[in-house]
Amino acid sequence: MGMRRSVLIAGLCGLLLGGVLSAQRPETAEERAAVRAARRAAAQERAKATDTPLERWQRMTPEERQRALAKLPPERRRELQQKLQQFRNLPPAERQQLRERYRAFSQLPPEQQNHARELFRQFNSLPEDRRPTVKREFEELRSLPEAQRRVRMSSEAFRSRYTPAEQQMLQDLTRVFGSP
Amino acid sequence: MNCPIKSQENTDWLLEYSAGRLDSEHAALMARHLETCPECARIVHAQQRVWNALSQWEPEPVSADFDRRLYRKIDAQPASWIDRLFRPLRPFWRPVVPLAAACLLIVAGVVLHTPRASLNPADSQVRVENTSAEQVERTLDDMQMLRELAVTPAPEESTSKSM
Amino acid sequence: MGASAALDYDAELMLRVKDGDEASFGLLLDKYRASVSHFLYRMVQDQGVSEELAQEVFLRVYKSRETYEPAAKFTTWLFRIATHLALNWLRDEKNERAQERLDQSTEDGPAREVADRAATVEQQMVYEVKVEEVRCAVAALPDKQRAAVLMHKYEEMEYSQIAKVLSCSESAVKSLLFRAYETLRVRLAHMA
Repeated sequence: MGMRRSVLIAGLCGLLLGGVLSAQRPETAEERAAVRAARRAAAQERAKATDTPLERWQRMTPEERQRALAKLPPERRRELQQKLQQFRNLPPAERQQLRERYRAFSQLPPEQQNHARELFRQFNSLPEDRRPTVKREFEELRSLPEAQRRVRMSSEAFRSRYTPAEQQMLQDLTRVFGSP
Repeated sequence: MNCPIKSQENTDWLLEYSAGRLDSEHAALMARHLETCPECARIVHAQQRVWNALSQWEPEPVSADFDRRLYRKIDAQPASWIDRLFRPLRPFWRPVVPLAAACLLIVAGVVLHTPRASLNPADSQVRVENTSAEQVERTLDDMQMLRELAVTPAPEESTSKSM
Repeated sequence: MGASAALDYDAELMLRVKDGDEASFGLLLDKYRASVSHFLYRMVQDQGVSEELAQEVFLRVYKSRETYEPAAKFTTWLFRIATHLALNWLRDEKNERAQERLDQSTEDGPAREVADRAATVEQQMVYEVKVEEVRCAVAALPDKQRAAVLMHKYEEMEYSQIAKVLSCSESAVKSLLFRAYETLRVRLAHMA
């Protein structure tokens, strides 16, 4: 008796389940089209919030990319293609890390982004032999708490090791890029 | 480098160079070769003409009702056996749905996991608008900056510039 | 720009379609509707037929969703379907269509809108003549050479991908392309 009752309940549940599942499916072509359109619109809205130019670029068709590239002069076009290739050649984990860093960067106010870019330009215009030294100092400073950083930057050793321009650059870099 | 035409090796370099797709290292080699090889230079010149001509061939846009017609064909596909089995009962089941939901409360949590279009916001990305090459250039340059300095930027407390 | 296996977002989307996510199919359709249609148009050179074939491509993609395995790049698979449909259609319709296409090429068709290209009627006519020559030159290529050129030029596919689509070796593809472009160079030599 107990077994029969269990089987009966299971059968009824199955029937109800099938009916519910079937009843959930949109009935007409218009309803189905509306559901599809709503889902695609929702996916597109979610994408708007998180897309970067590079991801949008990757999702363009080859024809669209070609048209976009054609607007650049040939040398810049070649350089861009090389940069894209270099990015693609990075290990996947590093690519992902860079994407996340870029997302954080792109959330900054435009003024701060431009400030960072200007600092990087200045850094790149340092003589080649000075760049590794300044970069190491920047990494050291970033690893220190704020108070110690200030002490270090006002020390005689720091001032004698770096030119005034380099000292200012290091100050700005640590302020813009903060601690790790 | 060996002449691609004479050696019949790397003839694809000629095509890729003409299309502007050869990487800088090989492009430099090819450019130097072309200075001394009139045959390859003639081919490259002619190939660039072909490439430009092909670029001008733009087909008509896809019809506005393409998707509608496609989905009509998709929907005309044979339904699953569940649909065929329960379709006749649908008018009767609709009023019963709330009652059925109450009865199947426990089962619903496990069994009613019908696939949804619930894309992970981080992954569900689609092109909404075209991106210019300059924007991509800028993005890659910014990424290069972040990579070289090995930083993840944080909002500045003070935005005073010293420059 | 091709994508490494780790970046084959399209294959990820297709795997979601396999899991029942129809919105992902919509995203793939959005991305490839135009390029598949245009590829097929350039192959068969008939607007109506190319759209029907393009619909068949996406229908087959949808129908194969449950058995889809990302063994190759998504575009390779997609264009393999498209190329086979086009080659089959060309084989079946070759004799019948060849004369019709040549006739249609001289008929008055709808004026092509050429945004940002032709400012004057004369420029429009010059453009149309040029496009017609290109169209005929491509149409005159053997079917497989045509497919290879279209994938190489307009879809920016790598040689290895084209080889998989055409079921031949990479060196065969390079040879095929070189011959095809050689033919086009001769035929279009007069174009500035």
